[in-house]
Amino acid sequence: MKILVFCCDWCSYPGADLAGILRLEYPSEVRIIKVMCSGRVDLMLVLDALRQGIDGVMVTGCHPGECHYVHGNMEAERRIELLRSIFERSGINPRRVRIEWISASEGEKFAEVTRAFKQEIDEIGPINQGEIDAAEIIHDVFSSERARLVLGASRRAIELEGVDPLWYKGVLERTVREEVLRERILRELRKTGALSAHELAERIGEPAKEIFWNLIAMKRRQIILDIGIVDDSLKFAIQEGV
Amino acid sequence: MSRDEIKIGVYVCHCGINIEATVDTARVAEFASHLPGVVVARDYKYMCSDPGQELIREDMRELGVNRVVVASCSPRMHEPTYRAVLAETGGNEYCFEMANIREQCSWVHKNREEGTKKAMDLVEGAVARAYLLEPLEPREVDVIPACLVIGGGVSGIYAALGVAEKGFKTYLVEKTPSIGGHMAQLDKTFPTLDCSACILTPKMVDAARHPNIELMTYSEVMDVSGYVGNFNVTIRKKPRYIDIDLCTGCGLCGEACILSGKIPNEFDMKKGKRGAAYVPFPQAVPLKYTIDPENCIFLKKGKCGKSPACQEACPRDAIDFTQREEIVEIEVGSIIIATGYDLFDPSTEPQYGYGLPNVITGLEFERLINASGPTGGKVLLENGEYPKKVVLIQCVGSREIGGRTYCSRFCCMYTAKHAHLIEEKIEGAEVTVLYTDVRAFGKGFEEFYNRVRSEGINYIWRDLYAPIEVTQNGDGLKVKAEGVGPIELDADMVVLATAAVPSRDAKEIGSVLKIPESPDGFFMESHPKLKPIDTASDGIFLAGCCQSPKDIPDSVAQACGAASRAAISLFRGKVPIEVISSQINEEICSGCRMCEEICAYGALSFDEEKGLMTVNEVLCKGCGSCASTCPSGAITMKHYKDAQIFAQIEAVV
Ligand SMILES: Cc1cc2nc3c(=O)[nH]c(=O)nc-3n(C[C@H](O)[C@H](O)[C@H](O)COP(=O)(O)OP(=O)(O)OC[C@H]3O[C@@H](n4cnc5c(N)ncnc54)[C@H](O)[C@@H]3O)c2cc1C
Ligand code: SF4
Ligand code: SF4
Repeated sequence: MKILVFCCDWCSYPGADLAGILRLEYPSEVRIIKVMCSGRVDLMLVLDALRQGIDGVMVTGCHPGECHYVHGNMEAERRIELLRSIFERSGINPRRVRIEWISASEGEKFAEVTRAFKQEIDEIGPINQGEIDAAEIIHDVFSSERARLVLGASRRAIELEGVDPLWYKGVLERTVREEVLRERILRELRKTGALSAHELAERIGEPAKEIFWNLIAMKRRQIILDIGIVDDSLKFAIQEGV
Repeated sequence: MSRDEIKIGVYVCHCGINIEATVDTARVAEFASHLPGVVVARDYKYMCSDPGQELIREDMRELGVNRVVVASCSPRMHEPTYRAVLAETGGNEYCFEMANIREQCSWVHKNREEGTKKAMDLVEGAVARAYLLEPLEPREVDVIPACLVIGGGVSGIYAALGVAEKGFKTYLVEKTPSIGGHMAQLDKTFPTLDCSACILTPKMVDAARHPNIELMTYSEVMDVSGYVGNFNVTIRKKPRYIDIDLCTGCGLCGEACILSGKIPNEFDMKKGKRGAAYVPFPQAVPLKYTIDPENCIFLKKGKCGKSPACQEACPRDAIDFTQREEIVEIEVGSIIIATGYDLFDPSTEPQYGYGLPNVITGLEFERLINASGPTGGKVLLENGEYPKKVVLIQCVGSREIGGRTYCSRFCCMYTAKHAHLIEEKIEGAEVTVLYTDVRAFGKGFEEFYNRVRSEGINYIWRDLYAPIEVTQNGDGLKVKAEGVGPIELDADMVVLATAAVPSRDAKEIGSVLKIPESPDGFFMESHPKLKPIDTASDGIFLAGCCQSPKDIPDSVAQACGAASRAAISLFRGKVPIEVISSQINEEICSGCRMCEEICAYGALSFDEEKGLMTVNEVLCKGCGSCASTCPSGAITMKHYKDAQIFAQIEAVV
């Protein structure tokens, strides 16, 4: 089993050091990666870890209001929460990622949360191929600009422009879900050549209506094209050069 | 530096047996020697020692090593040490990475096989990262040549004087109306029995008069931001309702106040009374009156008689009920915390009988025995008579199992002092001390203790972990405890040597300054032996009882040390600042401005002409939040590039 813990330079890393100084045992599966701030933890880093088969990723940072860089920890929280809600619908157990606040004086808390996390991962078992594949897709989605743009704008929208956070979260989730679906469509098309909405629906396990709607959007963006009716149904294929 | 020139040296430290006991360092080094880019891997007893450092220097000179990985303790401990080695030997100090195989491995795991495997992983991660590290140039900024001292007890006073005498502006912030702290409340001081006020008051006055010290009493630190060399501090000055520029401290308002002599005075441990307009004690510094808003009738009800008596009495027209709190911002280069201690409240442990008449704490005793105290120095029972049988109980609330496990360090000696003072001042009084151990560790302490014992004080050993009970017994008191056998003592006065506990503000100050506490709740020093004055945050230092209970000589010594430590960066005038900063790739930046609000320091601004973002590297603190937000992947973090982190993740698991 593999557990990755991101620690920030100011609170949780010294917190982990303190666990050491106090000789508090915690699971040896824990591997710490130091970054300056929990806000540095790009979702790409988390997703990259999962697609490599790491079973659990924990992001740790200073307590709310105590971030050395003012609000980096809140950015991290927003991202991790989003990731968890995306995971819920993508076949990845959302409990594989979590965020914890650990101050420099909370050596005991560091040991406790890593122990608890290990136990949780023990309960849900090692990451499976389905989850790894899904992580791969979401990873690719987050390399695209659209998903990152909506995610990146969240602070401006919620904190500066007063948009309802729940509503915004809905938009974010929908966008990412769409992007995930589109990514999966692309993969199927790449594998098989031309397919219809119904055929794609069967392979992907999502309603044909939703697939069709996304196919149209993708066509409009010239990612795919329709190659006309074949065997009684409208088929789509990847645009050349995509 | 092209990739084929990369030559990594890996050094695995035994840290005596600290690491070696749980990690087979030789195996780790052998493993590391096969990793990509590694030209040499060694293990050594103490890498941080001179010969250890020399190993690195030699390999740099002879083998051309240009990247160094040390697998040892936390980088928070020795990263600066090794970086200096690289810099001195003509390398780049940022081409260095540590694998923390002590705090993160040997100290938290027991199984040697597991420990060794994990250490290998951590080293592999560090090597992978080191392979991709890039040389960076250190940067410096100017230091604001001023210091903030928080807390005006004896420690804060000495710390402030120490910095001020070195020629730097010093702000001394004290939350109560006067500086002096607990020492101002004491009568005589062990072991020499000199009068506390006589030695402290002149120093209080020195602090107030010093041209470099700005005294800010009745004030609190609300917020601190910034970093060593450049701290921004927000201070709240509470309204005194008296213009301190006009007040001469004549005291006419205090006498005139219709509540005069009615409000228990905190300074006298509520054994004396004051008015709503008051100074805590006659030698207060500054000698300026304060109107206490919790009691003042005018401040509570908007009306006090026809017009407030204090206002009428003041010849200087100094009373100003319209005063409001004032928020002041100051800038300093370093900070000393000297917020002292508080005392354990014995009413939470009813067995000690606190609350019964004539059961008092040690600090209350100090006020009673003090000639300028509420009773004019007479220790009297509540019925106005002198006590005949006094029992002093040590270790009240200290050295517990669970809870406060520590020793409060000054109670043994002040109890001996109290015993002596009773013996000296009250003829024929019978004094018994219930002790568990007498810790007379300081200079002159053992001699003092022997002297007190020879004065006929009765020292009886008590079992600290056996029950004790102080109860009412007719007009008097009864103390039951266990020692060599059962102990039963009649008494008419009982004095409790209560534990010193962290200041009630410690939590808040700790979170404002981001300073960790030890498990006992006192502030944690950076290293228990070698950095007893520093904190985990650069530029913030500790003095006196805020770090752990200690007597006056130790407090003063630490305060003088803190003043010297805090002045170092002020003298230097420059401090290195964060080298890690963000960079924007102009080719990729789409000008979407997503990163702009993410940055809490305003380091990113939009260049209208180019339609792109630009970074101000001096303002950038290197957190990396912008990089993980940028939709286009246009932002790179120096020293924490995506590729560097990815490589480490891949290698470490
Ligand atoms: C009963 C008794 C008898 C003693 N007798 C002796 C003796 O004989 N000899 C001896 O050597 N030692 C003696 N001591 C110990 C002595 O009191 C301490 O060593 C000394 O007071 C420590 O000084 P300090 O400045 O560190 O802390 P303190 O005296 O506690 O001073 C701390 C100051 O900081 C202020 N402060 C706290 N929080 C804040 C905040 N947030 N903002 C601004 N200001 C703040 C407080 O108001 C206070 O003025 C005795 C102690 C007791 C309890
Ligand atoms: S977020 Fe990225 S693309 Fe947008 S302005 Fe900032 S650097 Fe440029
Ligand atoms: S790294 Fe942090 S401090 Fe620097 S520009 Fe980006 S958000 Fe601002």
